[in-house]
This record gives sequence, structure tokens and C-alpha cells, in this order.
Amino acid sequence: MALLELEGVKKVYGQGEVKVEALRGIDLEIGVGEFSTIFGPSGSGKTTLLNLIGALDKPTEGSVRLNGSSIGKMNKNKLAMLRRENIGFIFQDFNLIPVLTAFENVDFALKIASKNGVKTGEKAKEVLEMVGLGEKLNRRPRELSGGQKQRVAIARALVKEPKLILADEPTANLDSDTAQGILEIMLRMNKELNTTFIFSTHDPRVMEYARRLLEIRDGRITRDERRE
Amino acid sequence: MYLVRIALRNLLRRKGRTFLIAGILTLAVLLFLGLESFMIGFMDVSFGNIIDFETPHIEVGREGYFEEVKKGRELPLEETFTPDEDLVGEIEAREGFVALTPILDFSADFIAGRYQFPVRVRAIDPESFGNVFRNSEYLTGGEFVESGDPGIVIGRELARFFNLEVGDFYTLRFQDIGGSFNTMQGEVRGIVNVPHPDMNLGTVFVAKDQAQEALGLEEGKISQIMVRMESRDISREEAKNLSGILGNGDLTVRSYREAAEILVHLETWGFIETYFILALFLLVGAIGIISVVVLAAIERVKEIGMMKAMGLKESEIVRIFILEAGGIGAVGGLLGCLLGAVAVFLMKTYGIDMEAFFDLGEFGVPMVGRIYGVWNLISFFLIFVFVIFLSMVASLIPSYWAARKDPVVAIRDR
Repeated sequence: MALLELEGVKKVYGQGEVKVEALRGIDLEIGVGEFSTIFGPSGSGKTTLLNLIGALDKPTEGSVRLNGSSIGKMNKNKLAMLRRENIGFIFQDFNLIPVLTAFENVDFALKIASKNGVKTGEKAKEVLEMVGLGEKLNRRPRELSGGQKQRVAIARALVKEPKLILADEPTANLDSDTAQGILEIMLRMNKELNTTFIFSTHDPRVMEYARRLLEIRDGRITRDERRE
Repeated sequence: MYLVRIALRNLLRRKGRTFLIAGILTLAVLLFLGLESFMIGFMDVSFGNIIDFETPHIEVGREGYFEEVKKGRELPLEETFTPDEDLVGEIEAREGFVALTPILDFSADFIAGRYQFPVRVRAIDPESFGNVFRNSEYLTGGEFVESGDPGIVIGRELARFFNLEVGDFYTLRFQDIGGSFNTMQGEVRGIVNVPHPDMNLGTVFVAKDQAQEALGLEEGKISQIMVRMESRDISREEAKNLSGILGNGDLTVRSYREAAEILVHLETWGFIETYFILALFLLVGAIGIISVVVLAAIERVKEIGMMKAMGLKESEIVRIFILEAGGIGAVGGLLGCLLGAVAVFLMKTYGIDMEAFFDLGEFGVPMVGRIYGVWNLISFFLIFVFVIFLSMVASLIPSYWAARKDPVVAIRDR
């Protein structure tokens, strides 16, 4: 069963003569547990597509359905709830909350997604240990290296066990060894938890790990290749 | 809990900015508490002096008499009256009644040597006067007025003005009830120095029996009945009750506040000024809060974007900024209350010598010497809560502005 369905999705920015068509009709289905990469040159529409999949934005035309729910019909609060419960984000700039420790960043993400009364602390610790940061729980982001920050971001995305994790160029700011370590963690999580991962990237190292390659050019998917 | 934690920790991200705005709020709270304490102390002493030395809690007299007094004219002898037993009984039946004394005030020229000075002569019943007024406790020389004695008691300033001492001779010149000029002569029996400048200069005390005879008034004629009550709080209510009982007769009942109109105006304006100063500082503080939230929102655009991506609702992001603003208000309010407590403590312990700055008597203020601060704990609580509330309200619009940022744009802000 498809976790994500996009039908005839178009996204246009601006109005009148300064209209920019970022996506020109995307049809796509992504199933549960996939480990996919969206790649393509700068300005091809990768980030726009990721924003729509992540319910951060709405399509100008067409429909985006996550788990059967169409995001086009949702108001801001419903979209927020959808993201809170179903989607984890990983960004190239990590985007951790600087005033919270590694543990608190992860625990916070879990707390807002959990129902009242759920004990969250243990689970946050467990996930941080899974990504190899068991010893750095109380460090603030400024006290962590780039790789460690990205691992906190992964833990934060994973901790609430979302159906979908979206990673926008997650290795762009990392050196090769660290990037490889991060990708292996994500692959492991994908296998162990059956979480669906979608990356946008133009880093060939990421593409090597992907089980499905989606190439996008000029707002259209020009290649959809599955690997074993 | 995390929203509170984030908000509180955010306060320390830009310590200078936080403490600058909190400092303005601190100053507002400190000034307000200090000025209010000063004003309450000032008014407390001033009204206390009015009650103790000039007009007690309640006075009863003819309406025409009070009207002439209000217009600043000569005190009219034709507006005197003879109180009957029913009236005295009604007054004594008031809740909180302590004592009453009859008074006969009239205008005269005080003459000693070649000089003269217009005064109010207060003819008193020496037996009951001390139950209502405290003037006799402030004798600096001689004795107080006695029945059957033409001797008078004058204030220290009048004595200085005429260079008089106890035992010196005086003359009072006035018009009697028939309009003829008459005089009273005798010795200065005593000199008082009360903390009410006007009573030390412009008022002369004489025994009522002596004055009635010299004025050609029937025995028992007076201008006012002065009534002391247990407290100020009940006096206004009881003045109203008594007024209702007396009905539409020609007698009027006034509380000490109606008698001290100038002071009541001064009180009103004093508090308006205090609140105006508070409002000015709070306005600056509120503008500061707005700037802080706007700057914080600009600095933390990516963070806001990330929070939205994590699924935080706009209302939750607004809550973080409002809590931050409330935190600044709480810091400012708390520091202001602490410094305010020190200021009030110092003012209450040492007072402020107003005579060092100016002569209050010249402004018609019935007090001399030091003004002592008064604790008003409810003000500490209210101003603390108000500053927090105001800070939160001031942050509302910029908080919504921050929270409405498009996550797509915000998250990729550089």
C-alpha cells in the first residue's frame, strides 16, 4: 500500500508575468519502508517537492495524499498535527534548538507528538544511544560537532516513530566519513523500524545507499529507478 | 513544560537586551512604588493633621456658613445655630462615635502693637475641645484656653510675626452680630506649634463663653459641631447617614474630605501624576518588549521554521514568545519590587524632609517636617502582576507576526 501518493502535482510561485513553475505535473507513489532519493540539478524542484511531501506547503494543482489524507484540504493546524504525528525532518543545517541539550531536543520532539501521560525520557535516551550519542545527552548543540548535530537531528526525527522521514541534503555539510556514518545509521533505522526515508540530494554517496532513485528536471520526474 | 523551558532559556540568549528592557520596567516599578508610598504617606499625614487640628472626621453646620467659607468670605455670624438635644443625640448614636465639641469660628483682626493681621478666631468649649482636637498637646509655652478667661492661645508663627510671648497683650477687633465693631483684649495665655502651618499662623483660640458675649450672640450659639469618630474609613459613610437623618433642614453634614477640598484635589493630581509617570515608563518598556520580540523573531527565523516542521502550531510558537516577554516582565517586576521595598523601607524609616526643598504651607498643604513612606503590599503584588501582564500583551502582535512566518521560507533562511 502506498504511504504517499502524488497526482498531477503542480506548484507555481509568483503571479502574472513573474510566474515560476517549480513543479509541472508530478505523479508519484511511495510505499511504506522505501529508502528513496530525489536528485537533480539546482533549481530542478527537489526542495519544492520535498516541501509538498512534508506538508510544509500546498500544491497549486493536483493532490498530495499522505496515508490517505489529502493535505490540500487541511488548514494550518491540521497540517501541523499531520507533521507532528507522521513526519520527521532532517535538514542539512541540522536546525537544532540551540537552548536545549541533545537529550532535550529529542525529548521535545517526542513530547509534542505524544499523548499526555506517555513517559518520553527513556525513549529519547534510547534513540540517542542508537545513534551513538549516549555519552553526549547533556551537551548543547554548540558543544557538538557537525556529525554529532546531524545524529541528534536524526534521533529527533526518528524518536516519534514517524511513518515518513524527509531528509533535505542531510550530508551536505559533513565530511565523507561522517556522512557515511550518518547514512548507515539511517539505513539501519529504515531496516529495523521499517520507516520510509526520502532524501533530496546531489551527493553521489547518498545515491549509492538509495533503493529507489528519482531524478527530477525542470519540475518533472525524468527517471524512476528501483534497485535491489 | 518545554515551551516554558525554551522561553526561559531564550531570555539568556541576549542577556544585554533582556536586562535593558527589564531595567526600564524595574525603573517604572521602583518609581511607582516609591512615589505611591510617598503619596500615601504624605496624604495620610496631611489628612491626619486636618482631622487632629482643623476639621475632624465630621462637622455639622448651616449650609450658608459652609458656602461663605468656601467663597473665602468673612465667617458669617448670622449663620450660627443652637444645637438641640435631638441633634446631639443623633450624632452620638453614630457608629464609631468618639466625641463631639461645639465650635464658634469668626473672622477678626489680630492687633498687637502697631500691626494687625486677619485671623480666624476659633471659640472653643475648653472642656470638650481636647476630646476632639489635639492642639492642646502641642503647647510650647503657657496654658491652653480656659472658660471665663479672656486669654487666648496663638500659633507659633503668629507669635513670631508679632514677636509675642506668653503673657503679652493682644487685641482682637471684629464685627458683632449687630454689625458694630467690638474688641476683645487680654493676654496671650499660650503658644502652640502644631504640624499644620495654617493653624500656626492664621488661627487664634479663645474660650467660647468670652466670644459669645463679645459678639453679642445668645448663649449656646455656635457655627459648627465637630465630631471625632473611631476611624476615617467610617466617617464618610456616617456623615452620609447623618445627613440623611437630618433631612432637608438647613444643617449640613461634611466629612473631613469635603472640608479639605484642596487636599483632595492635590491627592487626585498626585496619584494621576504617579500613574502618568508609571504609564510613561511602561510605554517605553512595552515598546522595548515589542522590539525584543521582533528582533528575536528575525534572529530565530530558522528555529521558528524548524518548530513548525516539527509540528508545533502557531499558537504554541506564540506562547513561547509571550512567555519570553512575560519572563522579561517578571524579571523587571521582581527587581522593581525588591528595589521598591528598599526604597519604601528607607522612606518609612528615615522619611523625606520636605522643608529642605520648599515650604509646604505656602501651597496650602497642612503639614510640616518629614514625610514618611507607607507600606502598601497590595501595590507590590498588583504592579508585579500588571508588569508581567503588560509585557505579555505588548508581545502579542509581534509574536503572531513571528509565528505566521511561512515555514518553507523560514527553514531555509540564511
